[in-house]
Amino acid sequence: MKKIENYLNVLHFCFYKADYKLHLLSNKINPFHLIHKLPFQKRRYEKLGIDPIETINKVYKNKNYGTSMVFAGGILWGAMAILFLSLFMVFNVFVYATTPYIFACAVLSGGICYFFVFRNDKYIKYFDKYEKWTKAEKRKNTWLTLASLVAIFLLFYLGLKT
Amino acid sequence: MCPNGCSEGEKTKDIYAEGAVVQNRFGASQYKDGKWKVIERTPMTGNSSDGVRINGFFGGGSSSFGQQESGSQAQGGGGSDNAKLALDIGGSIYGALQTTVRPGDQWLGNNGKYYNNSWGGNQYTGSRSGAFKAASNYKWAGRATVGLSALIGAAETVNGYQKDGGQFGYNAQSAAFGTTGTLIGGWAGAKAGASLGLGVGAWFGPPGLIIGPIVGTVIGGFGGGYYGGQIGNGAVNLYHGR
Repeated sequence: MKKIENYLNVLHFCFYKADYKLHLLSNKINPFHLIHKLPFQKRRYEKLGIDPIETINKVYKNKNYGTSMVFAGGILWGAMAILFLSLFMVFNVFVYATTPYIFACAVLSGGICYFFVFRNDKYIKYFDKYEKWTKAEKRKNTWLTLASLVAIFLLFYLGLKT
Repeated sequence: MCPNGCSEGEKTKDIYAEGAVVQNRFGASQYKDGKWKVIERTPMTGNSSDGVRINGFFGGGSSSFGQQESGSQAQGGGGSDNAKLALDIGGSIYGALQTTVRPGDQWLGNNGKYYNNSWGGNQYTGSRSGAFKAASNYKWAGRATVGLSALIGAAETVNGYQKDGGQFGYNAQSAAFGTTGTLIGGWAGAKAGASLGLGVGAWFGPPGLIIGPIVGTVIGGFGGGYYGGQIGNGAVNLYHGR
């Protein structure tokens, strides 16, 4: 059980980091940030004493309520649900994915995510631990996350073929 | 009345039996139950005799994602599209509400003002823990909408695969690329909207710095998701020459 909890939290943390890094990357090419370079906008930000990019970054980075954290949680939930959907297909439980099966997948995956990751915000404890990863650990866990996603998509493909 | 160019047999109803349906040479009339009847032109691009209807790039019919529909399956496709759209909107709104109630190191009091996390509140502002609880509920709803959007997209792909006769054909591709486009478009649209919203919100004082990006994220996320889905389907339609 502890291993499953650790594994799911590793996935959740990697999704969070990936989303936030993509956000930072998108800052470099986001054409809408040009609005902040207009002279009258700059003067306004100086008067308010804020850095516009940093203000947006804060909304994404927050571990408790940040947008990246919500997106990471959603992706973990969705990935787990697709895993269950694939397993149903592999074992020929259904031909067409109708509402009851979709509902069953959503509830099963939601329950697992709640129990191992979301309950009482237990993921924050893991996040604090994972922030101290060495470079080698970061690389290992990034590959583990990628491999997990590929495995889910392969299982989904296998489910379609059976 | 028989249109111009009818044969003598058609005019005297000798050729066609009662109840027969014949598409005539003018394209807009048919002979049915012994009477000439003007039928409306329908935007069919598929074979109408198979009862198959294909929606165009910009939608039409019950599905907004340009999927090929057939029989009762068409109803299901439209339903799940609506569900995805509702989830997109719901996700944006819940995300926005969560950020509204607890943006970073502050929390929103009952009096509509923001307070630092280190202060617990009073009878006028309500309690800090109440605000945290509300934000937590919105956080859950935000996660659920992202996860369910992905799940419904996968389910649509499964159904499309079955409709294509066990191949990754037009319907399966349309569902897969439409969902991917919706998720990526929504993500990118939210970022663009947040930036624009902050720019505009800055002119409405400190509350605008919070409300502006939120409104921008909702509008940008919804618009980006919608057009992302359209682009995904458009690419599939283009590939299939539809």
